[in-house]
Amino acid sequence: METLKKIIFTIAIITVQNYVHAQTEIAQQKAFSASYVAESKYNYTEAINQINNVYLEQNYEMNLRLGWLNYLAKNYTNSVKFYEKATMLKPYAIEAKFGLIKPQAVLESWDKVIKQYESILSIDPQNTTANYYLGYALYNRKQYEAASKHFEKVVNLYPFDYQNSIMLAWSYLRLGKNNEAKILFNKVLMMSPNDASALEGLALIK
Amino acid sequence: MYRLALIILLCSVGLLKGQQITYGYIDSLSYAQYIAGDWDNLIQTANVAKKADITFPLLNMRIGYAAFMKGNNSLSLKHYTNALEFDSFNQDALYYAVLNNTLLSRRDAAAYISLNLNDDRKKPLNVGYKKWVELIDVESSLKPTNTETRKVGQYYRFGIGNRINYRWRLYHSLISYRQHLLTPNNDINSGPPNRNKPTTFRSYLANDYQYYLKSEVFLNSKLSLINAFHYTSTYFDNATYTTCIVNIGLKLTQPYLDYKLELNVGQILGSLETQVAVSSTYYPFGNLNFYGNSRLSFQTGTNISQINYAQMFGFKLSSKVWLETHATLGQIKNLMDNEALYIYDALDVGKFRIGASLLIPFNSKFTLLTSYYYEQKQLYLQNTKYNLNSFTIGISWKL
Repeated sequence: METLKKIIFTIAIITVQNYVHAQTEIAQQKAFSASYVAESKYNYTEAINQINNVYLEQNYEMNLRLGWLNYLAKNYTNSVKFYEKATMLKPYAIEAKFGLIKPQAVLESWDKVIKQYESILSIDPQNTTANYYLGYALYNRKQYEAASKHFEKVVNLYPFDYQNSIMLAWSYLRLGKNNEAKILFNKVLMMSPNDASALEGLALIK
Repeated sequence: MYRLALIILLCSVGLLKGQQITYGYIDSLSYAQYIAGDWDNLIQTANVAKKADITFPLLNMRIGYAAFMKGNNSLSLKHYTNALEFDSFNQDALYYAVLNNTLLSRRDAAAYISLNLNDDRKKPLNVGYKKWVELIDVESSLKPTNTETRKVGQYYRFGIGNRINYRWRLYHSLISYRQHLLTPNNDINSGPPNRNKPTTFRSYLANDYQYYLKSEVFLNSKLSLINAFHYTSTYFDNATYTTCIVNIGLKLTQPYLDYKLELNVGQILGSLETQVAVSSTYYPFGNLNFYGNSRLSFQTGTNISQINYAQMFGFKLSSKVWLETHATLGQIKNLMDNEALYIYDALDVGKFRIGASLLIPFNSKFTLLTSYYYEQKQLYLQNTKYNLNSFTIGISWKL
């Protein structure tokens, strides 16, 4: 009889727990749904409020969503905080890192942007977006050798990619590798006939 | 018009209703204040943003510029440094960080920061470039006394600074010091002292030749390692004595002040001297209108243990003249000062010293230094005190 009582009690607790959990999930789903509706109407404050009503600090999805919505609401410092939380909750998720880069770029926190791209590449070394933008940031800092390595990686994967090819050509030119630059500028002219940037680069070599 | 716009802005963002301070509010407000040149309120906005835990590079840049316009180089430097933490290649922030350091007479810190600054902005500031000769300075002192037994001391120094790279600088000095000293002839065969018989003196020449080398390396933007070596060869009474002092120091540079911890060790005329010193240079108003330096040192050696406190205050008297007042308290015997550039190893012990200097920059390259100090001294092995007056003139040339 005692054993039966214990079993019934345990089943009751599990049932209540499941019910509460299900209700919480439903409330979260509803909040996310309402938040998407508000976002589609450009009502970002309402979209943020919907998530805030069910907000859990340890929830990756909520922090990611709030990072995005605060970014749209142009509340960039808050956006950074939520994206940072998301990256800490799931350190191997590159979507949160790409998300974090957006407000950091608007705030012109280029050191932090570069750090995020490096972090993404440590997880996904062949990521073409991260390689291109990291290369671009390094090129702007006149770190041509480092920049060319990232462009090379993408050009090896996508030899007919315009953006990486033209940047690699310019990096070579800045490094004094004129022959390699010339070959690439000419290839770019096949991808983008009469491309002004490629013609400018070729003129500098001649 | 600007005030009206500001009130509208405050109302529109709901601040007057006590709503939350957001990035958007701080961004808009600081931008409006920046455009209007409302530097005082812009600096206040920094405090509001700090309380709300809102910081972003553009805000730091705006406040940095406001502080620069108000003549507070330290505050300006602090905010530009914050901006550089977000983007170490931010050219505007680098430019003003270098400029602020230069205006605070911190050329080494300016050189370190200038690494990522593009040449077109770096060249007019003339910092951080490798130079075999970055600085030349000369100084000369005459040190008359009010006792017949100590003739006028003559001190000459020639210095030259080399910049090895953006973080490393060397400084060399060649120094000469000479003074005639008289001591009574103690002829034991001449009998007891006789008032009618004039005392005869024997003359000695103390002649020093010195070489000083200092290296300062910035380990990062705040911490620098200082090493110095001072060699002295003294000719006295037909004998030669050598002195070698090694200085090791660490300096922490902050926008409003810097701290230095140093150790000086070496042999002075057979006595092993060890000195530990802490010092700080500070700019309470963030500029050179008023500044100070305090140094506390503890020195031990053979038959010697002394504590010294040195205090300097500097004031800007006019756009071209600075006055520095300085005092050193405590017994001055073999005292090692100014990163071991100056070693006060005279035969006679000093009791205290007080003085003043005038610094007159003719332009950005040449600065004239004139200095005076009074020192009370005591004759060697006697209780007789005498006064020493030191008059210095020097010039420095920054290339």
